[in-house]
Amino acid sequence: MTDTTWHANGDLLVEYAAGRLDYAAQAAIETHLTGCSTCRSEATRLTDRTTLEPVWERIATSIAAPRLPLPLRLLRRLGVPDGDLVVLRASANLLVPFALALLGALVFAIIGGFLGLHEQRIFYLTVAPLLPVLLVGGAYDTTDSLRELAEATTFSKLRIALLRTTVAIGFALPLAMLMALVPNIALTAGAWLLPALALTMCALTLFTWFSPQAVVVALSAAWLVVVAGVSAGGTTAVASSPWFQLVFLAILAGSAAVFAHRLRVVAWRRAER
Amino acid sequence: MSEVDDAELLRQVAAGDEAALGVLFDRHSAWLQMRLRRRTSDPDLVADVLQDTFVAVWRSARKYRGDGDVGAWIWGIAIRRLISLLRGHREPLPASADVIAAASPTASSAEDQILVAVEHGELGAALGRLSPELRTIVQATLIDGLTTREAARLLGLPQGTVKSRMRAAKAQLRGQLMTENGSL
Repeated sequence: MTDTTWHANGDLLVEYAAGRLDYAAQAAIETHLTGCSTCRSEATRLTDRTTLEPVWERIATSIAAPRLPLPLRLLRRLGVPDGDLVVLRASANLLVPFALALLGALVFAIIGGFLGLHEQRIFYLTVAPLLPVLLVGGAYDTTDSLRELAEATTFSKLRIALLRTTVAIGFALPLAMLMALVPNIALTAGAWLLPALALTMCALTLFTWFSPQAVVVALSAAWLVVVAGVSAGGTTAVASSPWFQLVFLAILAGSAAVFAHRLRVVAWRRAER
Repeated sequence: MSEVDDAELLRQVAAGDEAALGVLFDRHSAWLQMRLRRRTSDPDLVADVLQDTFVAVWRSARKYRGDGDVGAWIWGIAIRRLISLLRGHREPLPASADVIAAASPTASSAEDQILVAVEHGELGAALGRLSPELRTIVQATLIDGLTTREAARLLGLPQGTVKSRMRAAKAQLRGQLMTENGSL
């Protein structure tokens, strides 16, 4: 198409750009421009580059940003704002908790294979609720590397932590459910969910006061004590009992309330500062 | 600027060469801007379309099928992005850009080839005599390169209407050219 003999001369292009041509001439220019490199160069010569330079700068910035990894692209499809994605992306360490979780699940499955039925249930009851807590702790801890970002932007550290917690739990819950597929512990499987959520909520709340390491260690220890108590009678049935579940529902609700209060306090302090 | 052709530049872009995208931008941004500004009076919107278009080229260069003019392919992305933005669809670019790039027909259909003859006068005059509603269809399909379906959505018409008006427009054009040329 570039071998046409006719070319839109400069005057014609100027008239076209100004919208002063009739329909037929405009159509002629448009179909011609699309395929003719000579006239495209002429258009380039006639165009004020200052309108295009900022566009190129934005393009260069846009393509310099590496493409988001698949999980984050999926989150974006689900409507997570770009700002949040940038924060999540900045936490390369996020992969560490995920890797740990996968490793934990594998180790769990292998160990579970060597244990008797009762030990298997205790083991499951111990690990499944702690998994999200460990992940959330890991995710929160990695936010330290983002402190400058958190200070410089409207993102509070808690918001970043919450974002990561959501992602971490998104990984932890399916893993724990996978574990529940291990034969013979299906009975215990339902028992872990409320404790897991309650422990996670407690962890988030305690993060607003204490270091993540301390919180994770303390909560893990507390949970081990609970599991030891539950399984002392030679069965884990207590864990599935209504009162046991109710206690953790209460802990979940209580810590959620405290957490919501803490969020407001922290947000208020930031606003004041 | 070297004499590397656009298709080769696209291959380099597909391989991650930012400088090649820069050359493509230097060659194509000006006329694209000119054409887009005939479709909307908002210069900021045109700048957004240009930005999205070249980002889409960057991400989808490997989807260029190698047939037809690269300029027509880029225009296909730009006009679709413009329509999308005009409707207030601020969806994230990557998904739509990939779809757009894959769907963009390159302007190599027989009609388009004939339309290049517009510059010789007769067809241009014939186009000028079309009724406004037929002209709109010709504009959307033959000149802007949209598919029947896209034109129907853009103009808010049933696809059947677009097709029948397209037939009527072509018949009129053909008829007028025959009477004027005695050929074609």
